[in-house]
Amino acid sequence: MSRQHLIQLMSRYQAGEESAFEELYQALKPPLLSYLTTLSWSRQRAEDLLQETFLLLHRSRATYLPGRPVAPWAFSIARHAYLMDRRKQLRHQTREVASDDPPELPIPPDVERLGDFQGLQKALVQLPKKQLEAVLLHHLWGFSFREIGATLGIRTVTAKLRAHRGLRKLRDIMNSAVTGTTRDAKLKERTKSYSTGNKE
Amino acid sequence: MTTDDFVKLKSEIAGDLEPVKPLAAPGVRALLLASILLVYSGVVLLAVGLRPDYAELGFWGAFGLASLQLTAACFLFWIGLRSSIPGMTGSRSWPWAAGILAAALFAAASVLIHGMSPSSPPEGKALSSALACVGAIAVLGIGPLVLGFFLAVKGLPLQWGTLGLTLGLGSGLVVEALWRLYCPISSWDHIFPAHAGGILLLIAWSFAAVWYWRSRGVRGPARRLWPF
Repeated sequence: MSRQHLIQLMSRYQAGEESAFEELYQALKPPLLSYLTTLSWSRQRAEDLLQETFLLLHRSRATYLPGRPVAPWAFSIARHAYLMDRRKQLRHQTREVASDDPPELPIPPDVERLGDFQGLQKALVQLPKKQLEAVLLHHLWGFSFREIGATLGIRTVTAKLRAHRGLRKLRDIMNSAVTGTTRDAKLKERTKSYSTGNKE
Repeated sequence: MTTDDFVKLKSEIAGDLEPVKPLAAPGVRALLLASILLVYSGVVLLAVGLRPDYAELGFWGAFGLASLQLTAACFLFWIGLRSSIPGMTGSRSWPWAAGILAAALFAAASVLIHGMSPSSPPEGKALSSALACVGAIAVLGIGPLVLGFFLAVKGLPLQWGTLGLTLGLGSGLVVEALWRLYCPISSWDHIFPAHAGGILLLIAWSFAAVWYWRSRGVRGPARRLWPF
């Protein structure tokens, strides 16, 4: 859904149209769920937070300034819901134990060429969370660095650095994985030819 | 989120879907706040009168420096109000940088005024003068602080530290500029403990208000507190 269409939906939503909320929900649910999964590192937790996010979004709909991009506004609220929940867990010392299996993370189109799905999943999981967030916001959800800064409460240049370093680290991880795979394959080949040579 | 969850969400929202008026941009609200504070300052000044050595300072020495402080306060209010709009929050270093500049402006204004019209507290009344000024600044600052706070919680505060610092320091600067138009004492041993002390007290109250509001676990913007 285009940015302009989202802006129009928000105007209708602020005017009290229920159908606009439904359309907005359908448009924002997938990216918000992916984002919350990235933050909370748990699909289950992300789904619970999504409910909270949309409620908060509804209560805060007057804070959306007409004409401005909708995604940074919505993602900020999602992030706020996640942080409030984390604070509450810390306060009550009921922090959920993260499962050993990391969640399935979304893969930006720009990085798909770096490797296969499984390899990229493993690589993304290894990125520091701040860099992962910046990479996904920019390369997957199309945020400008200024918008990333406004969403996360950091400077634009910091957002740029995090995304750049995240992408570089991702390339390094994928390259070393490929080098390792190529080295293993060569070792197997050498071992095979050695054993074949011995038999002869 | 399952279909049941969505149905539940929809039913919660359907009961509360009246049209809402979007908040004005933070810059507009900061200017509105500044205008109200200008009127407020005028009323207070009419009540207490100008300092007796006003002629030595002149219009620019007195009102010019006060205007600079008021401008710095508006900028701080803008940062604070902006931090309550999701997707518009600035870097967390902004309020600290703005605070340091504001402190430098306060110090520079104090030096200039002392240079133009040096004066000390009356003999034996240093403590009572200091306490009077701290009290006056702290009490007069409550109005701007409350007003700024109400404007902020109509949004969705996302950076509570930023809000506490900017509202407290902004209110303090406004009121200190106003009070300096009345208080004739310009010596360092009065300005820094008394006037700066009043500003610090307002910052502390601002953080206390922010902490209290957050501890109530308010989910979302405040409603029906203010028409704008």
